[in-house]
Amino acid sequence: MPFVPLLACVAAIVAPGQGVVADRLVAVVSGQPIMASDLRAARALDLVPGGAALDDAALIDRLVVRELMRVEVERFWTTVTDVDRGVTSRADAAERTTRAGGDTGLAALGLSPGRLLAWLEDDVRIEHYIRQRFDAGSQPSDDEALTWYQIHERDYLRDGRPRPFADVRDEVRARLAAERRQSLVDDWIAGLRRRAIVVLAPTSSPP
Amino acid sequence: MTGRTRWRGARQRWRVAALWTGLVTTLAALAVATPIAAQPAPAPPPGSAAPAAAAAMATTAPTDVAAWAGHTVLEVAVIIAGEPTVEPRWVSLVETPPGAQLSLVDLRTTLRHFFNTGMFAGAEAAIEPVGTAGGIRVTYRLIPTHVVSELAFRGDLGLDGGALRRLVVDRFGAQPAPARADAAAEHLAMQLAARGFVQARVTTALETDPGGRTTLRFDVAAGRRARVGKVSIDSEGVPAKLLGEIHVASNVIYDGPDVERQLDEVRTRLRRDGHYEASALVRATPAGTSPAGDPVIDVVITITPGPLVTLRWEGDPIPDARRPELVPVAREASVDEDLLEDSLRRILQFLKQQGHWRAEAGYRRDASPGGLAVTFTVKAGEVFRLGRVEVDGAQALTRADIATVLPAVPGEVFVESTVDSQIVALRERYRRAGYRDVRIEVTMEERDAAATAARPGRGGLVDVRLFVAEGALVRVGAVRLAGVSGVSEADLRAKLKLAPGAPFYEPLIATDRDALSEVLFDRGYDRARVVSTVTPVTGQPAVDIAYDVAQGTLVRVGRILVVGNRRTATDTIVRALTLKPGDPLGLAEVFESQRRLRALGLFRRVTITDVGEGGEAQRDLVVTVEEAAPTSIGYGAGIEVGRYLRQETPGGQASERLELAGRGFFEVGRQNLWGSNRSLNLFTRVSLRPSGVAQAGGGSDFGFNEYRFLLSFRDPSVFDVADTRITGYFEQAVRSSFNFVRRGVLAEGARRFKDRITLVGSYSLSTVRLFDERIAPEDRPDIDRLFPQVRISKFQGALRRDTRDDLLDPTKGLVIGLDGDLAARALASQVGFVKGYGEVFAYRTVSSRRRIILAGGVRVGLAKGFERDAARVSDAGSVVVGPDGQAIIDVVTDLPASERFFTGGDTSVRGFARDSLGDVGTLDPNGFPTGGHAVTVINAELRTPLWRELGGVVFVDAGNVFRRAADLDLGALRASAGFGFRYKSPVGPVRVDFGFRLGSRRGVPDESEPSYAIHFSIGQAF
Repeated sequence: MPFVPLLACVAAIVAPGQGVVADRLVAVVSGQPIMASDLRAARALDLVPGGAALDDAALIDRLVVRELMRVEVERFWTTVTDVDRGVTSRADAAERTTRAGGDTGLAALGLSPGRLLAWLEDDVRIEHYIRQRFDAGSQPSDDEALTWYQIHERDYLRDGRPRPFADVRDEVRARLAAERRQSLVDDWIAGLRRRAIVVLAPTSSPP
Repeated sequence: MTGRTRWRGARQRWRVAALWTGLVTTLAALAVATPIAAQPAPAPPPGSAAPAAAAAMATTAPTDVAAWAGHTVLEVAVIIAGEPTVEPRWVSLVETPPGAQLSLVDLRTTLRHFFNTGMFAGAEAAIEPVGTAGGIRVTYRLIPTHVVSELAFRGDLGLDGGALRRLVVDRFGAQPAPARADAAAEHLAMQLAARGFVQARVTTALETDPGGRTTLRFDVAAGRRARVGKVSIDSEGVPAKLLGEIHVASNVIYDGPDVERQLDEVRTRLRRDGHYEASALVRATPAGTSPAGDPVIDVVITITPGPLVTLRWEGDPIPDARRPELVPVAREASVDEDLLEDSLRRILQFLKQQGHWRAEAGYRRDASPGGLAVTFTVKAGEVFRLGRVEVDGAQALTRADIATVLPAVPGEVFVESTVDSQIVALRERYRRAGYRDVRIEVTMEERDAAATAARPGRGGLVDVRLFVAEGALVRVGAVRLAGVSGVSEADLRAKLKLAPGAPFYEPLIATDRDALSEVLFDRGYDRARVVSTVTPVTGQPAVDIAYDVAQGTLVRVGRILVVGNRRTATDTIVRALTLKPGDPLGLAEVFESQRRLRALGLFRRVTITDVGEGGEAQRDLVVTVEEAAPTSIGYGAGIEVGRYLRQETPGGQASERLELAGRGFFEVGRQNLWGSNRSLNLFTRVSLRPSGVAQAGGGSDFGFNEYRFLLSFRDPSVFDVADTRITGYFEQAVRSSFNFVRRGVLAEGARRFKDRITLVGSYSLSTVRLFDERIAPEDRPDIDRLFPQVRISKFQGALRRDTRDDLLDPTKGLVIGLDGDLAARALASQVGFVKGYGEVFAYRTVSSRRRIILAGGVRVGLAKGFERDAARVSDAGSVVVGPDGQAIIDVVTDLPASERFFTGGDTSVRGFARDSLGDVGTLDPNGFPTGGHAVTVINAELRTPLWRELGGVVFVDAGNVFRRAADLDLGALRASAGFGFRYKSPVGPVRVDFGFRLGSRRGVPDESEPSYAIHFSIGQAF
């Protein structure tokens, strides 16, 4: 490799400055790296809902959680068909690619079209997995919904008076189910965090 | 364009750019003598300076970093732990070479390459402008991963350092990952707290010394150790002597695990005494501090002995030895209902296995104050035997077919569960044959129940009747494959077991699906999935099968990253791989590469993993090796026991003698020379044994009469073609008819081919000197008289196919070997000959259930010496002259002794001592073999396990040695039969064989010939 001695020359004589950090390893989740370019792409393309408004630490945490879920879902080969993944993910990928300014714009984020599509497919698989695993278990009975309504009656006022339960039953059930589902998902993620090794990569530069 | 092709395209540009950069920078450095290291972080370059693409992106790019894309890379630096490096292994991972336009995707890919090696915990890429034309320098800064090699404990430890180390190692291993350091500190603090150091604080730090060794240091502040405050023991019903085992008292040092150990002892003893449900718990509560300032812990111990359980048995007896296993209340420390119900089920199962078809059992619990009696009542009933077995309705399967899965033998003990499992097997047999809807009903009826009841204790008979409704034979109609591209459909179809027209057997669908997936995985489609659909064909007893294939993306090998090799050259490792960059990342090739690397013998551990991001068409192949020690030393000693042909008195008759010899060996080897898997080995062996020569006074001449020194150099991949070895040796050995000293060199090359075929070619040059010859002078071949020391130069070739499943103890397979030797005076040999040797061994399991193996072999060797004229030599060694005063010239065609064939002994014909076989032409008058130009050996052996690791064999062997090739006569073979035992030891079967001769020696007085021989050895006979 003839350029090596010359490179040595450069390296020895010209100590490089700090420069602009264009990309770096941010965290490692169960052996899988998260890069600074992932953060940029997540913000720019809204790959993490609300990611643009999050600070670095919060966004890294969201990406860590996503990676924990992805690794777990990967283990089970969820039964999302390729057709499902293709229809939803490809359209989404095309839309986001356009938003980024085409393939060149994606490249400027350090993202290839294939990688973007895989990201979106993984999201679909994660969502599918969560639906499969937690939706059924989080559906309340009518009695539970009524009890919950009685506790949260003030959330369902009309003209200062509580609306009849029969009028808001579906709304109550949906809200209670969503709360329960979120609680189950939170427990699941907490379990994933306990089992996994998450390391924030050492650096002297901000992501 | 992939990173790899771009790399190739940019390589030339990089070289040129690097050349100019190096020169310009060197000149600049010389002129200014100030490095540009302290430059402030630059602002993004102006859009005008960037190429068009970057300028266009400036409007859409979400961050400033994006504006650097498209700039020309002029310099690249790789910095590890603050030190610039130009090591090719790291520099070669850079995907943004000088001269290329910067791609942030390539930048990210480069960082991933570095991360994928597993060598770096931190990695970042920085960009800064150089020059004035928009050029940039890319700097990769890497922070190495720390591998903890030491644990250190500092501060107020509380316990001794060894105890702390054990607490950490037990949970986190001897080399905890740095990422687990905080968890290890937390664990240690908790363990200290459990031992009374309730205020313990532990922190960690990583320290790396100049040699690169990293120590994980625990800074411990254990604090004062707690003392026991109040002690309360609730132990109603517990014998006082047991309470004496508990040494927890006020004011003693608190040690939680020690208290647990004491309570465990109490629990164990209570359970041993019949209190199977005994429990003992401790609760420790902080209770402030003592006047001396020590923390205080109050201790409450609660011991509940539970009832004293008595097991009683009524009715028919159950063997004492089986009771604990059938009713495991002591082992499970419980007498709950579930366990007793399970026990009952086990008792009934046990009785039914003995033929007590109508067995009954029950239990009852009788509680009394402080006690519980559990009584099992057993009514075994008669022992039933199998009567008639009839099968109705079976047409597709013959009676013999059915008998293979339903081997019911009338008169056998009747076990209902066995019959049930056989019926399941029969149903499966039908389904395999395509009878998908087969139904089998069974009736089991006691024959003449009244008579059985009238004669208790005489047993009964059970008639079994099967009614088979076979249903229609269902065949496979069409088989459709959809979604396949880039892979030959014929290749996929060749893997299917359910082909059109074949009987339809549903479980094979899963097998075929897996087979299709496997083909796709092997072709690099690692996410391939196959979904199968079975559709009945209308109006026909057939089904169509459709396989819908979702191939996914073809994944290819990107970079091959080799890590963990310190002494071994990366090239040596890469050469052993069957995958190279750009190849489809096939699973089979990964396994094969892994196997080959292991076969090099250089590594303790080898793993190959592919790493990459979803959606990328290339993945890095990370080859991680852990190198084995380069120097190996081996030594050992043992005793060799064998039956040999010996002379009792000088010049006397040959007789067989059981001889013991002490043997020892020592070897030292240096592997992986020059990092290229070459090796050098020295092997030495000596045997303390008799010389084989009769002593005049009849005394013993034990000594180091056999030895061997062997020095070999091996290069396993000369020109990537052959495994080559050069060996120099020097040895002395005792044979049946003579002793010899041999020294020589051997150069051989071996190459393995597919189907386990090996081709070996070699050349050897050796000198052999005979001494202590026991062959009668008049029977010594002329060649031995002519050349008491002979030089042999010969070429050898060997072809071998070996399909045995186990080299030491095969159960199936075949060995076919063909060897040929050619020595000639034109090759500097003193004698010329051609020699061939062929052997075939076959191994077959004749009964899988009983693991009986039939082994057989045939060996044939033929040789012919090239004619040469030689002056006749007298027994005294002088040249014999004729009446004309001229030396008498004979034509000699014999092979020298070291090249002649001998046989008999533990690996050939086992009714005979080693090398003792021969006939009129190859035995001297005293019975010593002279060796011959032809040999044949035939073996047959039946091997069967006997008990645990012990096995037995019966065998028949035959063979003989003939003076000339043309004399070979199968009718003149000597035969022996016998038996032996094998013990399966970790080093292979240890063997003892007893061989008995069949028939007497033809044409030679056989009065002195023993009728048997015993052999001890390791390994099978063949």
